Amino acid sequence: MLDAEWSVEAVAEVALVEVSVHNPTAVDRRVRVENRLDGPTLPPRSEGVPEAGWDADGYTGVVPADGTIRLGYASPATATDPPVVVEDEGRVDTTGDADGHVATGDADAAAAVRLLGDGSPPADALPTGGTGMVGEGASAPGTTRGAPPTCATDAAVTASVGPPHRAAASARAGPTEGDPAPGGAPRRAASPTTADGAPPTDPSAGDGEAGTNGPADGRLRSPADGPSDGGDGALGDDGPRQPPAGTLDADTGSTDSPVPPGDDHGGEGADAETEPGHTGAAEGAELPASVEEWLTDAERRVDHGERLTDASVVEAATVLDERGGFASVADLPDRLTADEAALRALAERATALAERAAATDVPLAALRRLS
Amino acid sequence: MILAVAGGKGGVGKSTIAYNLGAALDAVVVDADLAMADLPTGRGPDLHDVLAGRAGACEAVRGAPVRLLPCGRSLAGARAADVTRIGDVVDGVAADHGDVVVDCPAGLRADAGAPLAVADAALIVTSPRRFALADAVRTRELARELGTGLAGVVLNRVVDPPPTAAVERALGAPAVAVPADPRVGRSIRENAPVVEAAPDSEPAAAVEMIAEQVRGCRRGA
Repeated sequence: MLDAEWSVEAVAEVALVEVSVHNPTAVDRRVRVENRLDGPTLPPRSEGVPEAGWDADGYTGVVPADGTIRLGYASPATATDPPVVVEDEGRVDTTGDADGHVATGDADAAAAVRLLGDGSPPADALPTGGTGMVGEGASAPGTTRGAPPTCATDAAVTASVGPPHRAAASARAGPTEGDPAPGGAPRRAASPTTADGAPPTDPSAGDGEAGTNGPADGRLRSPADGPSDGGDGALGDDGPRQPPAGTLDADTGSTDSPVPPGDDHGGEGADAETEPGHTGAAEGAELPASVEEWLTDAERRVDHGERLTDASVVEAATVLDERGGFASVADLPDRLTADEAALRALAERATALAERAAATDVPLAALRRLS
Repeated sequence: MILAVAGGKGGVGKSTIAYNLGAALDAVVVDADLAMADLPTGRGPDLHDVLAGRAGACEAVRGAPVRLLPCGRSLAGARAADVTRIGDVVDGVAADHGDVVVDCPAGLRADAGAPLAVADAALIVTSPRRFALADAVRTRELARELGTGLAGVVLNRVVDPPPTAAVERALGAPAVAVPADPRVGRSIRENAPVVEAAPDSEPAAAVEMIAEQVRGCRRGA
């Protein structure tokens, strides 16, 4: 009773199907359009929810009396002909909504999403771009940093990774920024020295200001991991990422403020003044609040991951209790993988920017004469 | 029976009314405010976990004297929650526990619309102020569009004699006024529903009247 026409076109490796169904009779008729391609149906969507009537195999709907409906969908399959089978399912006795689809159960919730739009928080609201948990816990106590958390810092962070790496550098490698390091290392603010004063690690390997440790791994270590003896801004060991026990806050599992007491580095930080165009990352510099919060959250997850790795029953139970049950650790491995990727990406980018920043030479005097 | 408590505007007292009504109906109260939950949570899976498929619905029901299915507090959890699954969730809870009261978020987006859509009836909470009444009308229209009838209206935190008749005309359902009372205001915080903490009080009588209205809706359905 129904007249149907279709066309199928192959674009890249996807088949695009168009179907037109005409109802020449005087009553509404229900139609089923079944996908016959060798692939799933990718229906049109609204707010992420498939349009009404669509399912994994095709479409069910009503063609109004003496009317035509036009459908289109895609399928990651070879474009074969005929792409669909159109079945007339008879007269429609009951009235549904405009396309004859009577909503039931979960279809209602989907209809609400289609109609009203997604009400979930935008991805931009999550500092890690949606991969991390913002609400994992309160941010680390930042009071010792003396930096009031402000939303204004967020803009700086999203724009570039400049400020954080400087802060990290100052926190830990402050003494080495501009410091003529033993071994004649290049005077870049990227070379942490090791505890025994050995030549700093090769900055081009991507460490340094971003707070990474050994040359090869490019990890981003919390600045608090750095100086274990504080006096000369030494980095501490090059071993696996282990926050020094002393800095762990037993209650929250987070590390303390990333900036160790500035006193130890005060004198050495002044050396940075000699770098042209750089005021140096003073010991008072800190990470923007949102970056600090993100790092703290990541560190908490890493801490829990470390403690659960080869943990004793007691330790495992403690961590489960801190996190609030298995449900909240079930996705911990995935989150840690995401953390690792994000941190490595950050380290890479931060280091590259640090090197660029170190290489700049803004001639203030000349500019003053020009302006 | 699944009752959605909605209101369009934030701050009118939806959660408080939902909680107290849950006590009066001996229903499970589901905190469906995915982004700004405020019913008490505790340890264990929550609605974020359930809507993301990490936990079953009935694993997340807990609490006394009012049984709650609380919601998580993180933005990431809200983002990962699939609100289109809310129908299955409340159906599952209703099958095991009986009546369900769903505390909907404010606003007119899908996070408010989805629980309204899957409910058997809606209860609109509003405040006897013009700005709130306009939003109540919009919410009533939304419920109608989603195919959910109105069980009643609650005029919350009433101080002066409320315009009950006008509200009933505007919204097309019987209205009950709940007087402003500190015992109601702190009922959630103190885990003390007013029908139990002060059963002879005016607010308790108002809540019981709302409950009776809701039960009547079910019988008539």
